[in-house]
Amino acid sequence: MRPEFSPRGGDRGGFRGRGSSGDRGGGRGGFGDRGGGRGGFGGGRGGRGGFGDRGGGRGGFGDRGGRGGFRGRGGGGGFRSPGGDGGFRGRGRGTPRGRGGRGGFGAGRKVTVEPHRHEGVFICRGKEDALVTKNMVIGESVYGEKRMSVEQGETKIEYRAWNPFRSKLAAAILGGVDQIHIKPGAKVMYLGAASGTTVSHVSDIVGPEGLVYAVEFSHRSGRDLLNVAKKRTNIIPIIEDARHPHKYRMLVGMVDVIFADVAQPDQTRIVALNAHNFLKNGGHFVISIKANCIDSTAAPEAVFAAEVKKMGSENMKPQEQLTLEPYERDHAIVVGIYRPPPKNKK
Amino acid sequence: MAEQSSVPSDLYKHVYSFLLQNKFTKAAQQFSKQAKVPPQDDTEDVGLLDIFNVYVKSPEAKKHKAIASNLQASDGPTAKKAKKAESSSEESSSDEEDDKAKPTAKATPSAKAKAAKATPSAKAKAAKATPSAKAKAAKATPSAKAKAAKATPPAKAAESSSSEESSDEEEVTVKKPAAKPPVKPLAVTPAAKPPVKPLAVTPAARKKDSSSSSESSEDEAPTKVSATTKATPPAKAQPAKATPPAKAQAAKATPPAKAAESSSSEESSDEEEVTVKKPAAKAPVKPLAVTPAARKKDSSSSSESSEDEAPTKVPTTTKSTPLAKAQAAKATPPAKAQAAKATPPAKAQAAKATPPAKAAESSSSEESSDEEEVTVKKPAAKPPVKPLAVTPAARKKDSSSSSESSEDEAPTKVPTTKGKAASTTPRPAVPSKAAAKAAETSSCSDDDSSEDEAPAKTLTKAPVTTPKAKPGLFSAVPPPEAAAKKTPTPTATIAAPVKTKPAKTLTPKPAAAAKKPESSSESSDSSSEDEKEAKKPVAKVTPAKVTPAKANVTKPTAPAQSSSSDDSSSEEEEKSSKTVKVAPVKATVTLAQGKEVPAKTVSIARVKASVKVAEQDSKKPVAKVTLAKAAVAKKPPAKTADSSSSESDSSSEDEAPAKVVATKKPATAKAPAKAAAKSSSESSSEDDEPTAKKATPAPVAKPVTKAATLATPSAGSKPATLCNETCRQKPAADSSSESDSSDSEDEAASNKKTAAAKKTAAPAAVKSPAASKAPVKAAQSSSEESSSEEEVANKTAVKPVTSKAKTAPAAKPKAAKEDSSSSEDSSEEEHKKSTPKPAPVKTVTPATAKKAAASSSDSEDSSDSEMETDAVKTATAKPALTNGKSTTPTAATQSKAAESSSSEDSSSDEEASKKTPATKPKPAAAATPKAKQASSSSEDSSDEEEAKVPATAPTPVSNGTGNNKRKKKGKDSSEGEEEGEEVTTPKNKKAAMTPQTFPKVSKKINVPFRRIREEDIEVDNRLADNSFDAKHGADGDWGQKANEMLRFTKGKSFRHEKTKKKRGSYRGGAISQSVNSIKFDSD
Repeated sequence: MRPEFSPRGGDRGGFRGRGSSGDRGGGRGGFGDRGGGRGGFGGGRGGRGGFGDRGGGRGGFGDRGGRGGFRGRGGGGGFRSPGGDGGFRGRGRGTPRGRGGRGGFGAGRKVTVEPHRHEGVFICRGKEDALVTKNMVIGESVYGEKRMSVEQGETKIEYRAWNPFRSKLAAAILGGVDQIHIKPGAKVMYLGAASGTTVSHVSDIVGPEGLVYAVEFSHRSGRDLLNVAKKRTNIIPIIEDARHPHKYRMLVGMVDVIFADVAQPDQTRIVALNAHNFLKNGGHFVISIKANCIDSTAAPEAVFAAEVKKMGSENMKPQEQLTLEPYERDHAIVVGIYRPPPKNKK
Repeated sequence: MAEQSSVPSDLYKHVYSFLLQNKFTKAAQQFSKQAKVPPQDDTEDVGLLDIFNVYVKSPEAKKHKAIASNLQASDGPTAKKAKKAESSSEESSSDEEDDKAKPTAKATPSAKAKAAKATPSAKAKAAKATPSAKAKAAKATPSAKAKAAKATPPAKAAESSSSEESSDEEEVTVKKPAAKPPVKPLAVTPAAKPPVKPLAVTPAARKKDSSSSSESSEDEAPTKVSATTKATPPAKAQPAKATPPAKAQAAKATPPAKAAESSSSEESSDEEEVTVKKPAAKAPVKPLAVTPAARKKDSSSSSESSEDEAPTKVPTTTKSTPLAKAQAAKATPPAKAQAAKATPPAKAQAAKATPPAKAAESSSSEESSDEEEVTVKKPAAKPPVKPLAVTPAARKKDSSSSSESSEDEAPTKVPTTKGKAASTTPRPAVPSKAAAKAAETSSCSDDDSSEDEAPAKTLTKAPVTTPKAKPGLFSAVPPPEAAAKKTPTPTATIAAPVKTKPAKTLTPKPAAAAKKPESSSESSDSSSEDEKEAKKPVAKVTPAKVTPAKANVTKPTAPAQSSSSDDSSSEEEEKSSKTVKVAPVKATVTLAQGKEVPAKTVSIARVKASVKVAEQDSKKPVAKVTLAKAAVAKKPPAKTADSSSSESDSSSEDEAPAKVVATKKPATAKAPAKAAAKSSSESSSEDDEPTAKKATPAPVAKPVTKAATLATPSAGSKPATLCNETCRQKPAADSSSESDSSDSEDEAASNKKTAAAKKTAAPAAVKSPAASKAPVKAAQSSSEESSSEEEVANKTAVKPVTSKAKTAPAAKPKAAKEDSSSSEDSSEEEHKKSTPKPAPVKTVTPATAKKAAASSSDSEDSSDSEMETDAVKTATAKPALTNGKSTTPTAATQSKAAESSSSEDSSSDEEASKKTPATKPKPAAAATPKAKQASSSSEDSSDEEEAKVPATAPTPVSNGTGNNKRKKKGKDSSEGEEEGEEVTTPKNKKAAMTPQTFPKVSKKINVPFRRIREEDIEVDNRLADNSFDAKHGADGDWGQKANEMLRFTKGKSFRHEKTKKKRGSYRGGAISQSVNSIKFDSD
């Protein structure tokens, strides 16, 4: 089961393998969840973060948790920080670590990586299969994900694990979506980039030839996103409200695909607005729909149907729908085409 | 000497010569110096007889006396004159008016100065004394009174005086009119006013007394004599007693007594009904005050007017006995001994006791006067006034009223009581009194006032006006309640009654307190006039009230006796019965106190005293007795009483009593019922109706009594009624406490009252359903209008004993005086009252019944005038109530208005309304029930208003309920005013209610905001299920394991599970690249 190529990263287990890169920024950027809370932790992470993370969670310090924790906890934090911090971390990320030590997926084990039917996506076949993408920035983990490096001949290729529980796109892929329309060299507009975890993988997929316009309105999340973008040249972070495409219209050219993960009631309209502005005719859109964000009282299926119907009125033709179960609850992903070409009539 | 110095008199020389003759040279010299008596006369041989003759002949004597009496107050002379005039001329109207005016004047002065009040009483006494020739005694008493009076007056004066002055005058005027046959209503109104103002009451009472005295010239003389020294014959002993008590307790007692008396007298003169009511009220009060009072009442009731006096004395004696222990054998002797003892105790513990006695006496005198109608009433009234001191009144009555059979009865009663448990009961009562005294005094006053508004007033008395009194009562009440509770403890069932009683009595003693409340309630019920009086008494203090109650009792008995012979007597009988009831109440109280024996004795005494009356009385007593019996020992006494009553009752009335007794023994309740029935039967055709009513009440009572608790309830009921009244007046505190403590009792009482009064049945039904209902039904069923009258009667009956007594007297007077036609009404009322008594059997009800009856009777009697007066009274009463509680005030006003407006109109309506109220109250709470009942009873006639007011006051405890009830009642009743008022309150409530409903109703069906309307969306069958399992290739999928893990998780747990998986610990196995998505048929 050992992978042919031993995982590169020392810490394979810790998504947050902070230590691995030692680079804080990276860690942060990678880490931050899209959620504000996460971001906070991420921010605090440098040391305080450690316990800010846990401590904050516990103490309820809230966002700046880390810092707040610091101050607030003072003494408590004080003693805890030394050992506690480590302890926590050890536990949190340590599990993998502890378990696998280095090379979760088999440090030193041999794993085989095969390409997925979706171009740019790979499957790491080992004792346990994993969805992976080719790491654009070798030796760096964005959010603590595991990395595995495969040596093919002289070149070393590093792959990053892509956790479907963290990324809806990964969930869709694992779920068996037919087309994601995101492929190497594609220009993708990513609405709701959040901390850039998924964006980093999209960035890996599109590769150096492609472009990812990551739009995120949250500054907290955007901070991590910016950190991610620093290392990845194909990511153009845009901290703006996706509802107002004209604000970043100068930054964005025509895109091939719009991926939307904006859990907003009017997300369809938002996607449509951006599509009208930046999506090429015949371009595609991939929309993740969270039923509860649109109407928590209605049945998810009804919500999805309603959204699909809405898309139809925006020149967005849905082509397929897929549930994100079990990775997400009451989520569905809809893939469609914008202004489909008159279609060559037969 | 001071007196002489102040005013020269013809007698001076005689005195001087007398002194010389007897070799009191120094004294003579001193006298000559101060009096400036011409020494020439020295040589003449002077004898006391000579002096007396001279005095009698000399016109100046009056002045002298007056002056002498005036020592404290300047008005004395006028009073004397009035008295003389009265005595000389029977011209009740003119004389009465004059007298009234004078008294009022005096009263006002007294009112102004507390001392002044005392002086009035002193004057009255003095005046009386002088006539009797027992100047010494009189003087002594006056002085004592003056002191005591001053002391007591302060409280009273403060309260009543201010209001009294103006009001007194008005009252007087009113009374004058009232004094005239028709006038009664007017008189009532004045009385009502007085009640409002405690202080005023006394003046009014005095006026009344004077007026009453004037009415019956003969009676006046005797009464005066008796009053002063109280009957020359007994006089000495009595005077002594009287004076002591007067001194001791005083003035408060006396004032109340005076007030009560005056009021009673006025009422009697004006309206016999009123007087009767008052007496009844008083009687109840007395019971509350103490067993002695009850005894007095009993005796008084038994003896009726003249007889009543004796009885009253006896009661007083009994009271004294308790305290003193003497008990003595003979009525007078006992009376004296008792009085003496009583007075001491009264003084020591509670002047209240004595006051009560006085009040009772006065009331009794009133009753008797009522019974006798003019003559009797006047005498009685006068005596009572004098008696103010207490025992004096009783003595006076005895002496003055030729104690016919009544005397015998009274004595017998006293002895019995004394011998049996009198001493015991009295003592307990006394202790309680002592304990309660402070509170009790107020309560006592309350009791006194209770007769009218007395209850409320009494309550207020302590504080000040009725309102104040109420507070005081409340406060007072608690202690009494405690005492009552104690007594109750003996018998569990009794406890409840006791409680109620205590609450009522609160002020006086526990038991006494209970009694007092009753009496107060009765007084309040009795009539607006009574209310005034009661108020005054209250102001004076509970003592007065207590005594009044006793007086009432005695009076009733007297009436009963006389009544047996005369139609009026029949009324009197009713009254007496009422009084008897009162007595029972007392007995019950005593029982409550724990002295069952006394109660028994009392009841017995009552029975004996009021043979005829006894019926009614017996009923009440029975109720009490039953209660007592329930307790335990009481039964025996009751039996004895029954037997005695039955014997005495030889007449139809007697039958009733006998029955009562019998019933008592078996089931106290039954006995009362029987008694009621008998009494009702006794009454003439008019009576018949009442009897029927009574009968109904009795049944009710029976049920109540029957139930173990029932018995107590019945007893309690009376107290409760009283309490109700008091409660209403007092309102919050009292009502709450009373109602609470006596809720059951009150309820029962109220039920009884209501049942008896309006539809006693209904009320009863509510509280003691069957019984009360039956009465109500009967009442209702009986012709509405005529029935209305009957209803009124019923109501009165409900109000009960007191009301009956009062009403009966009033009715009789009225009937005799005014209308034969009205007489029917009145008689009906009387009957009703009597019936109420049965209901009262419970004791509590009596008070309320009395009030209601009184009010009802008043209204009925002179439908308009009376109604008006009643209304006024009610108004006053209401004010008191209102004072106590804001709500109550309105109710009072409402009731007043209603009374005035509604007056007779819708007796039926009122009845209906009453019924409803009654029913309502019962359900709601004891307190409210009482209030309702009271209100209901008041509703019947204009009186209903009063009752309502009381009820409201009681309700105060549960203000809301009370108001509601009131409102309901008012609504029910056709009485516009009441209705209006009530309606207003109801409206308020309704408004409150409606608001709530409105919002709800108004709320449109809100369609929750929904972005997605499921019903409008068509879901593709393939997309109908978003679950993992529904997906293609679910089986064996990398996420299958996760699905298994997350499938049943939700919310936080899901989040937790998912978070764990985010960390990369998840191992899903092989990843398939199959396409599982659902394609839209795009192409």
